Amino acid sequence: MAAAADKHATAHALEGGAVVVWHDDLTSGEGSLRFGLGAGGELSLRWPGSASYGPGATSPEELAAAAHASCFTMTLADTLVRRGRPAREIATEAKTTFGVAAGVRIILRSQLEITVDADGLSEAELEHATEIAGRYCPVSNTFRIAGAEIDVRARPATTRR
Amino acid sequence: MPIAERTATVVWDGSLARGSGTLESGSGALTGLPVTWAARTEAPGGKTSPEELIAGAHATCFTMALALVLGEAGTPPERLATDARCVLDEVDGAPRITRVVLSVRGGVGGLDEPTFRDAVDRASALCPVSNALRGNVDVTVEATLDAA
Repeated sequence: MAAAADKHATAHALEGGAVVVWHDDLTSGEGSLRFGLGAGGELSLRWPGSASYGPGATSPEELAAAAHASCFTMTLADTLVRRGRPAREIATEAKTTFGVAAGVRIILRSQLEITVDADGLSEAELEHATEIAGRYCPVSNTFRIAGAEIDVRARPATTRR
Repeated sequence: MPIAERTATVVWDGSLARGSGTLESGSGALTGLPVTWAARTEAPGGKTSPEELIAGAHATCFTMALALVLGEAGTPPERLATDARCVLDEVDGAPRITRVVLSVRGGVGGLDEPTFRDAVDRASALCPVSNALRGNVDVTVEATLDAA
């Protein structure tokens, strides 16, 4: 594979940061989140089990889903280019589930539903590219090592119903 | 046994280096957030990245766990401020999330430093993101109790 390009892509350590401010206890309290680089401004944060939780407030589950979707999508975009099937558009929906296993609260599952619009891309080629992307995507690797079930389904856009 | 499930959608156009994407979350809190590879490697210019989103997931999860622990102990915090930094590095030729540093400041009336540290340790054991990262990511938690 294109090892030189890999090296280029990850030659330097990359960092991301975020700041959370929270007031009061979990159930009646509220907070805010700011990404280090300012995208999205100040986001409202509520515990999903609280009465004040509703549309417009984000949560750790949602942010984990966003991290997985964005990481996998970028990795797949790169994989497809290297395999001569550059995508016009990749749409990924991630659903991430937190829960309890053996008495410990963990990330149980992350499901990705992906649609790829690329010229001449067969289902078999996409399946192979998705497999390779799954081995490279750092968020997939982190979740997998953590014991989360990773379920990725991808299809070429031409088979869209 | 699931407790909570949330969704997010990314739409990406073009190659990794020159393409760009947008991110929407199921709650509507994240709408049309720009995502690019350049945001990870070069000047970010207000665009987000997976590393930043993991930092966000960890900071929110840990802070809520700490609010729960402190509330149950009868000392709900007036204010918790958590800063998270997530590092992506190359390990054996593949990109890996190698480190997260959490730095939490607590404003909690009537609490001493050892009790606060104990609450921080219990929050780490409770937080699902901390539990997921432990063992494969080097997680450091720095805790400071603000003077009342």
